[in-house]
Amino acid sequence: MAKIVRTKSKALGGITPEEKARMDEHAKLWISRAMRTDPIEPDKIIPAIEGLYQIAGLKKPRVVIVPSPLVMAYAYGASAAIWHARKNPGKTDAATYAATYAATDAATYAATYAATYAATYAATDAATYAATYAATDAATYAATYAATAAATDAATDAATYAATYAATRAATDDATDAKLAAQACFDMAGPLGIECAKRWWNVYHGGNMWAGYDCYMTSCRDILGLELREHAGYAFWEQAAIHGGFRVMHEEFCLVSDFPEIIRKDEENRPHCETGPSHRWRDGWSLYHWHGVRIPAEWIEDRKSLTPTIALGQQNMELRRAACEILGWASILSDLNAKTIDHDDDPQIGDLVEVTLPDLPQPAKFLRVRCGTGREFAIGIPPHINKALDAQAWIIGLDPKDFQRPEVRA
Amino acid sequence: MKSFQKIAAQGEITIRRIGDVPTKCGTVSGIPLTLERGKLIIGHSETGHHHVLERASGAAVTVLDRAPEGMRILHAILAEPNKLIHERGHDTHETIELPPGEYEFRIAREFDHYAELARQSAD
Repeated sequence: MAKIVRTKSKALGGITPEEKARMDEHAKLWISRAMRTDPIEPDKIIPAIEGLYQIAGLKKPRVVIVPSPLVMAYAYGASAAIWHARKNPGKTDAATYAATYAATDAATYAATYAATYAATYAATDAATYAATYAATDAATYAATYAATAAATDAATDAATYAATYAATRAATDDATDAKLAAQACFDMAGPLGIECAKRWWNVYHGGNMWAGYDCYMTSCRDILGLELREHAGYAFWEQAAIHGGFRVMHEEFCLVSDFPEIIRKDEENRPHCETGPSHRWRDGWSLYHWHGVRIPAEWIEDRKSLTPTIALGQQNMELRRAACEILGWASILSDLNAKTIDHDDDPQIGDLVEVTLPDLPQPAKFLRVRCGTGREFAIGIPPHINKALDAQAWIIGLDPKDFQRPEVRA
Repeated sequence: MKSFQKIAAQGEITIRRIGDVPTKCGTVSGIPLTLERGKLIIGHSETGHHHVLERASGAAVTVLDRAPEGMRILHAILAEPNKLIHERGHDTHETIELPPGEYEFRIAREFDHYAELARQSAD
């Protein structure tokens, strides 16, 4: 093993078991920050944002806290368009505008994020970098990315969809929060406001939901002992990551989103909730997910609206699977006139059935079975199995010859 | 509460009694199951309705590391009387009595026709 070197400017030779253990705890801290659901604290986030602008050489911005990423997108669109119109009378080219104001992001990025990363990278050798990165950035990223990226993507999709709606004035559907927000943006700032709202990504930072990077940076500083000149500027970025959600950075203003009040996910850290939104912000804006797949709110909030026909009619395979799982495969099979290919008199062993499902080259097999509580389930079975008992053996990972019927089923 | 001699099932969990508590400590290849909020969770539920051992004391549970695709298999030595409890207020699977002994818990799997792979069953 290479010799471990630790100075204020160098961390070489990999990491020690003790450092790894501390990094594991450090990752947990940043994961908890990424999943934060208590309200944003203005007295902590505003100085952090002002500090970011200061070290990037930008003037002090007006910092506004908004209740959700959706409001952020439209408030940004309207505000940016209005500022642009004031500074560029007669010019309304949105592309020019977006390119100009992305410079705010570039300035703060160069002064903090990238600068600190580059300095930290230079101060560590490959072994130390790889081990530290795996224990911090990658670990935090893996634990948070699905839930946080899904929220970001969904916010963008919703904003873009609603913006398109507002721009075309296709007022045919029921009003939603997103459409109302888009309408407000349009009313205040016209088509340019909508165009700016659709481009909020240009000036977007992830705040607490980019916790993986911050976990890596702070572990190099706090656990490996690096003390770099760049850490002074990074301190503001770090505080913004601890105390704020998504943000958009304009040269005149910075909008920072509050944290969600609800984040629900499954055991694989995918956004998921069977009984309500996976994410909800304090203004009520919500996202719904089924094991990471974004689904319409009504599939959860109004279960009766989801029918087998709607479920199997979904063109998107992930959406279709999510819908089938929400309905329950037993309901789907009943609706599809499943063909029984093997029957066992014991309903807890069940019937092996096959059905034709959209986009599958061969019929899909399911074991329709009653559980110990008396409820009916349909369990997916591989194509090579032709007997209900063999299916029961496969379900618990046994060869059919080793399978024994349980004496009791609770 | 239900009791059994050899094989029982509680929802998606199949329980096999291997024998009495071993007199010699053998080696089980796998990872010790860690406590979650003070409990040994045998079967996780996405809705929080886990299948748990009533008591962690006297229980040594290992997650086997060579389970078939999509499966989760646990090995347990219960030195003291225990119970497998389903933590749900509705459609609850009845509690199963677990006298001291050596056990195997097999968490069921299902086949995902669209993904063409086996995955752990979830409720």
